[in-house]
Amino acid sequence: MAKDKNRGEERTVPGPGHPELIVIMSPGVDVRATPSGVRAASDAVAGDLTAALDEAGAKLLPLFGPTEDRVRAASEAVAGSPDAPDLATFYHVEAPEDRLESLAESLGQLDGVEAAYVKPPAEPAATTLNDMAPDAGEPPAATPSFEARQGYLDAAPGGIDARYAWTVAGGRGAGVRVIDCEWGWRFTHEDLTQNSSGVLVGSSLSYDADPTAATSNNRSVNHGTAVVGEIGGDTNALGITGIAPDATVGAASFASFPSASTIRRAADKLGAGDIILLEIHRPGPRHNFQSRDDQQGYIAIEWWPDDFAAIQYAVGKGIIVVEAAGNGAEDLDDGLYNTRPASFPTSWRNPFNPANTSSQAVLVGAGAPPPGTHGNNHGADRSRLGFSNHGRRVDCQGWGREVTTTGYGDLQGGSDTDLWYTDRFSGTSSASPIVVGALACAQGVIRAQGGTLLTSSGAIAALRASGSPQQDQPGRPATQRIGNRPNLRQLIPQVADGWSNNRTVVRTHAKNSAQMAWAVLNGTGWIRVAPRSPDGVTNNLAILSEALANGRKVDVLLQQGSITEATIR
Amino acid sequence: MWHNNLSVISTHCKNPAQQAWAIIQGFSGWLRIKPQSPDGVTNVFLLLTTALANSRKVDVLIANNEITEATLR
Repeated sequence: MAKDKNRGEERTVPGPGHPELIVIMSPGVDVRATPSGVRAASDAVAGDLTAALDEAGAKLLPLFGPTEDRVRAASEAVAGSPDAPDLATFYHVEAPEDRLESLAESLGQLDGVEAAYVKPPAEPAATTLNDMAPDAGEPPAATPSFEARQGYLDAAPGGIDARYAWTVAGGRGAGVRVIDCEWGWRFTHEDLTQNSSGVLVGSSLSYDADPTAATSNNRSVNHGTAVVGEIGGDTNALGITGIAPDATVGAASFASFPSASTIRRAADKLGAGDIILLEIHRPGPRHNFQSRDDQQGYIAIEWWPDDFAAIQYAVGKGIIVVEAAGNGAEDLDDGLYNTRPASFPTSWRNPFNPANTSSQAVLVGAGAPPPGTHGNNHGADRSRLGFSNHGRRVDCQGWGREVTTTGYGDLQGGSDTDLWYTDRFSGTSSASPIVVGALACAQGVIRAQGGTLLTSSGAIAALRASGSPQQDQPGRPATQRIGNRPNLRQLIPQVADGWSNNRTVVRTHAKNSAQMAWAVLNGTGWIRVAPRSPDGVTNNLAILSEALANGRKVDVLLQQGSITEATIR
Repeated sequence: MWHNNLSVISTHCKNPAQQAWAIIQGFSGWLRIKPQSPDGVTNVFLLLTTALANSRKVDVLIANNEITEATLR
């Protein structure tokens, strides 16, 4: 698929990704790719593979783990989709970049090879939109607060109402782990010190010697720093505050491994209810898979079979996967995307088509912030931004312009990159972390209540059923779907409210002030009895305390993170 | 300060507002639940009485010989 020119040589600033040659073996061929060579049930298959690889100076490696047996064992332990592919049949080929296309063609013709395709180099989903230059002036002795510039934290419809979530127990994302998958970060930033877990998979790219230069490394590090700031920026009096500042935010680097392998490795660092963010897109078929400065035609990576399989693996573990829809200005409902590339497996079906099996990743488009944000107007609030991909597969939207966060240095610059902030982070890249932050807040509330954590498909359903609706803009009607902007004041009650039955009361607590009563249920932290009337709070506390003292169970109605009704059983 | 995992020996109340007391293991004499709000005093008193009636332990926050908070264990 990728052509010879598709390596960024003609780009103004080439992206950080590289082409990847992926091979999928047919089921039953039973290949073992080892450091000493390729073995297979059939000597002929092994011989043909070895000859083709040797001729190109290439090496075949299992894509999803050290050995096929380990990959298969790990996959079987995950309750994924029943039609999920066998991850042990996926391989990555290490070879000189100028040999990848011809090698893919050779391998694809061999018996036992189901598919062999080259993926074009991937990029962060906003590189060219984010051309901010750092301010040369040195910052003041103490960074001022920029929180008032973070309109996305504010009440709906303009923001997602993170400030409401922060008033609900767990609503700052406590207990939720997030891994951002891309290329570079600056975790030594002054506003990323409290709950960052650093780079958990691979190695981050670093700023170049001149961090102000328009280089791929600098752009990558600024990009990742901006993303993690939106989600988990520190709670303090300076700079910005993340949407879910109590969530633990780490990173997985595409700079170290193939994209699908990186996703799989990130998933293995997390558990059910945690969140993976995919800040990546690739040149799609619109422009023959060619890398471009304007990123036109770039699409979400789930379109490629190995990335789709990796997402399915993560989702099967109960992890919520959030994926940038891409900045290619593409209609993902276009029939173009139903056309299977000849190098893909015959079983492949377009995942952007809702009639086909979904990856169940939350796909995020970019919407306009409220007009006047930072003095700029990008069209009607919540209208699709022109660069954002759109279509029925897109689940929801976030701010795709004017996002104030860490990195870049256009809002506060100077010689110390750990003090850099931006007022202009953009793209489906800036939109996706807003959705991740919202989900981390909601998941934190559920965790605090000991409720059933959201799955990726549950998150999609909740996001589609709530929030502030997309609006029309001339030339960009709401029929070009990017979905709703999350509204945590709606989302939290939707996912967290309801009766929780047959629970054990572990503790009750009261203060001598008005309507101050709490309980701990099995598996929860302290949950307040919702203040409404003094005698009502006392009655709930009486039931909870009697149940505790007498070893009885209770049913409780949880609303917005508090107990509002109780029944002793 | 907090005093943890204690037994409630006795509780007592009068019918005027916010008049409730308890005797807590390790303390000599009656400790009043500090008047603050009527229902707040009732809530703390409820926990202490429930603990006493069911032989459960409590954590209590005591300052100046007055109880301001209680946790039923």
